[in-house]
Amino acid sequence: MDLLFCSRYPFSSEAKALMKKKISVGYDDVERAKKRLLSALGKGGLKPVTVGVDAVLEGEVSSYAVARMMLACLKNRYFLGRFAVAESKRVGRYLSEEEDAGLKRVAAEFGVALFSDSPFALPFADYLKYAPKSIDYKLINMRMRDGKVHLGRSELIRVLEEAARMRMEEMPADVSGIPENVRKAAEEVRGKLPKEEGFGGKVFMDEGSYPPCIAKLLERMRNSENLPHTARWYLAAFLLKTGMKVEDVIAAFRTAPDYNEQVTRYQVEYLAKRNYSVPSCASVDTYGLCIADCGVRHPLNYKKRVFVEARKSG
Amino acid sequence: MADEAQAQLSIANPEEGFARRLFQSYYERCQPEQVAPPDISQREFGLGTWDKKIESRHMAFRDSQALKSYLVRNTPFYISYSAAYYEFPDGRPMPRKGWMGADLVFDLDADHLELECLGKTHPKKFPCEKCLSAVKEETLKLIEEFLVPDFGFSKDEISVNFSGNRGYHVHVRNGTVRELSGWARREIADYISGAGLNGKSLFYSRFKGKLEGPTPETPGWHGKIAKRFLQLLQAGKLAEFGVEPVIAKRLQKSMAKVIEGVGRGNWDTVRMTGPEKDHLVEKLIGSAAIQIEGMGKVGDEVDVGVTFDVSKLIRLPNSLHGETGLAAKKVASVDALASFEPMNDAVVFSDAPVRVKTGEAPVFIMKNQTFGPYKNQELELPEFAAVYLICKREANLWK
Repeated sequence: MDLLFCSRYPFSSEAKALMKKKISVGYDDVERAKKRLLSALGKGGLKPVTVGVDAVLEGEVSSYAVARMMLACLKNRYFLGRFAVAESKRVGRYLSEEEDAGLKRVAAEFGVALFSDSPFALPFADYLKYAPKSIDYKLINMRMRDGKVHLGRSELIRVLEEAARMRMEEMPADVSGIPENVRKAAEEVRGKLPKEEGFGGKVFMDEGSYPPCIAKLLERMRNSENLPHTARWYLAAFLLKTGMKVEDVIAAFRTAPDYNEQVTRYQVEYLAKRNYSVPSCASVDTYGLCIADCGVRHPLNYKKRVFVEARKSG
Repeated sequence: MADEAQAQLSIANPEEGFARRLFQSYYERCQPEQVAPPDISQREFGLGTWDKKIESRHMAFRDSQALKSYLVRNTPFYISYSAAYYEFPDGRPMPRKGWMGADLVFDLDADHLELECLGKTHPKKFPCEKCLSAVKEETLKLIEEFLVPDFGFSKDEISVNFSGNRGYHVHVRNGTVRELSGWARREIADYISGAGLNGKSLFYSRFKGKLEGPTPETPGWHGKIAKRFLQLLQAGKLAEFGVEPVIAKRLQKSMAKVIEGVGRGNWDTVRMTGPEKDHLVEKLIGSAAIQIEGMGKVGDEVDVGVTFDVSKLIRLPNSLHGETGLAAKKVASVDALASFEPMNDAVVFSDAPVRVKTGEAPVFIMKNQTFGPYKNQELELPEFAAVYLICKREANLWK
């Protein structure tokens, strides 16, 4: 067992195995977890741990596990998302100190087989699973041959950081076994955590005229759910096509737990530039986003229909 | 049996009945395996009628025999199946189906190529030989320059079929592509269609203004740009692909030096200003990329949904296309594509004479025979040509 590895990468299966051996969650564990959660969600983020004493390293592993339990109790996507972002940033700093073997070990944790050519290469499907969603990491801008994407060291670290973020962003499913003292601590900490950003822009000016599927997506967005890519794409395409300005569309995504203005801006501007059309209701249905039989065949016709009916009845 | 009665009732005109009987005879002759996709019981099917290309979906068949019986009994004019695998392919709405993965599918249509003839010298619904060979070239390019060298797919993971009208469908099947997310599929579509290439990342100055860039050996798009540039330069075709004539001329003049320089990644020898180089790169992307269904050029109005729609339905290989009476013929292998001739190899009907009165049709070639042009003529045509015109709604049966 490698305690240093576990402390740096507490989401790893090795760290989880270590935690399984632990019998109870003590006062110290809870206090450390509270601190970890508050710093992760606070402005300064998480600082790398430089002390190599066993007790400290063990504390790092357990505080992570307990913080995750608290997040499970808090049931708040925004907190979880912010936590994952801060944690993964620190993971990135640890990774930059690793030798090649260490990078390979972390990659293996995500099921990625790393080949050591020029200087690193990984199968394109694995790359696409974890690639950051920005133009610099678009597949087309990568060096790809024979099904492998070739990455420089810093690029690989960024990809692994993203993989870690995705892993830590998964909502812990089982809350039944969480001890009482952890539940209590979660409630104590709730009031001290930063409030999520306000839902921005001019999205709600005439909410009634949005089709049910769009209204639902906006609601999910407001609740800081992590919407799948197709949902975000559809929402953004719709808002742009109904005349919303790029700035306002970006603001509408501000409550996303993984919100990053730069990335959002790139994506929304890309959509606007390429002038993507809004998919038909049939397509929306195939994405699993259709939620009601609202009587139109294209989302853009909904407003028109509502308008006509309002005039009829008015 | 209720289906059959309904099918009989829906026959509205003699042409539809004629076409349906012929379609039926084709499906009777087919071996069940010939029309069944791999893992048939996990696929969703969609059907179209004489009047409506897509009439219904959410159907499922438990095996190839069930599919064949259905085709013989009900004879739809269009049949498509899901690239996706589902636990319950007939489940509704979509989330109930239980998505288990999907093949990677590319849809290439002559319509997406910027051809001089299609819709200009001849109507869109009658692709000419040039259209058909251009889209075949594009399909070969997709396989030979992207799917095999870059994505590392082996040729036996790739299967190709004629669309039945004026394009080709390329299916990639293996464990890796099966699990790709919608986002990943869009990234692949962007890669292949040249969308989102960051031209600025191609070149960088290292020492005192010396401009370095890709060589033809650089992996990925960067290498494609260098390779394409040298190809066009050597063929003297830079101007043809939109490079300004003055610049093309200058490059042509110092060709030897440029080739030698770019071969080492030294783009100083190209001697261009920033904007000139951006323009060049844009043109090179255009000429090296593939036009696939659902992707458009920057600024075009496109429904990009189809490219990353993981629930998309696509024509069933070896089924008939209701707009042509041609089979969506599976090409024996990737290597056999080069010699595949759709207007010969995808023809499935006989040459028994049929009397028709034509509408309007340009010249077309089928089974090495030239037909047309026609304009309101009464004549006798071989069955395959008669069906072709009838399906295009440019002929009626005539006594």
